[in-house]
Amino acid sequence: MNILGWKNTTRKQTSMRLPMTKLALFISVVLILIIYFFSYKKHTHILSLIFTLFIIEYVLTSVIAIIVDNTQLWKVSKNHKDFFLFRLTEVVVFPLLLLIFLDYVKKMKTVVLKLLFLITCTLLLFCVEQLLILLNLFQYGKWQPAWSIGTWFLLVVLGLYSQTTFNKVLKKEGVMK
Amino acid sequence: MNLLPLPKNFDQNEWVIIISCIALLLLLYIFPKRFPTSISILIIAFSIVVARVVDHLLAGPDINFYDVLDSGDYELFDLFSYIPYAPFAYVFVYLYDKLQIRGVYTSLYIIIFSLIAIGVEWITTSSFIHYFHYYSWEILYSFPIYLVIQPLTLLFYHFIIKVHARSLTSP
Repeated sequence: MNILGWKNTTRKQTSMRLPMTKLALFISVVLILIIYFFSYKKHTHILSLIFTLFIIEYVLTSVIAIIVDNTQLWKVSKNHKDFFLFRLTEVVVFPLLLLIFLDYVKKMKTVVLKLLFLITCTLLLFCVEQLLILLNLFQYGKWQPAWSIGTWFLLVVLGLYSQTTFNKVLKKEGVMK
Repeated sequence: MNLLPLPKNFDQNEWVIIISCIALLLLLYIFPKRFPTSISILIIAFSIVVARVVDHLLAGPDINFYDVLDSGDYELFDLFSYIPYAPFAYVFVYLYDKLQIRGVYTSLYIIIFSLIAIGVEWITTSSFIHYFHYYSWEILYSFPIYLVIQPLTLLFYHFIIKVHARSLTSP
């Protein structure tokens, strides 16, 4: 026991605790994101959001399979906890962030504002990707950061396009005005 | 660097995908229209995406319980390899709605369809079709997965049909 009454820990115990702290903090952030997503007032029809989520999930998991499995342009950590966090980000965090961004695009009135917002979203997604690298969840192989910006921008545009297309179907059915 | 490898052999497993695409189109064309277009699209998309995400989590190179198609890589035909789930899910929801299955019969319906799914999966793992290659996976493990996915499909169907109807009636 030290002067504050805390148990003295060895270096091994501290290094064991750090990954668990990362895991706990990361999962907490993901849960907060999920809670936020389900609680805020959305501007898009829920069926349209679901359809966009499906498209994003399918395309994102396919793109990451190509980058990670086929070409090894990204090298994902072999550590099981880090691998789990990487998968969690891929399947939950990125799609939810994209959905939230695409929902907020509706608030933008002019085309210029929309375009500026889409570019900001792309950069934010890129920042999250960089955060994953800082957390050692994965490392770049022969990948260039500029390719990430291009890929995220294409994903944002694809999400917006699929949302607009599905909205047309909903309007035709009288579900949306 | 090969982004999307082509199939090593264009054989039975690729034909299964092509036949499934044709079956899906025929089903949508031949079956009397029961759901609005948006609902049909969402049911089909749900079955494809759930299969894709589950396979992505279970059939990656590091956690690899099984491979889909010719190799562990994500091949060109892997992009379409989830379409075979769509006709199955569509018929599953279509008959559920048409036959007005409710109460305890829902359990029986899910069990019967899970057994059919296991039967279809068993055929696809045969050395003739070799659609799935199991490593540390057994066909019996798939049964509880179907018992989870199929009720989820029905819950999803009830949810979207309710939202759709509410949106039509709301001013």
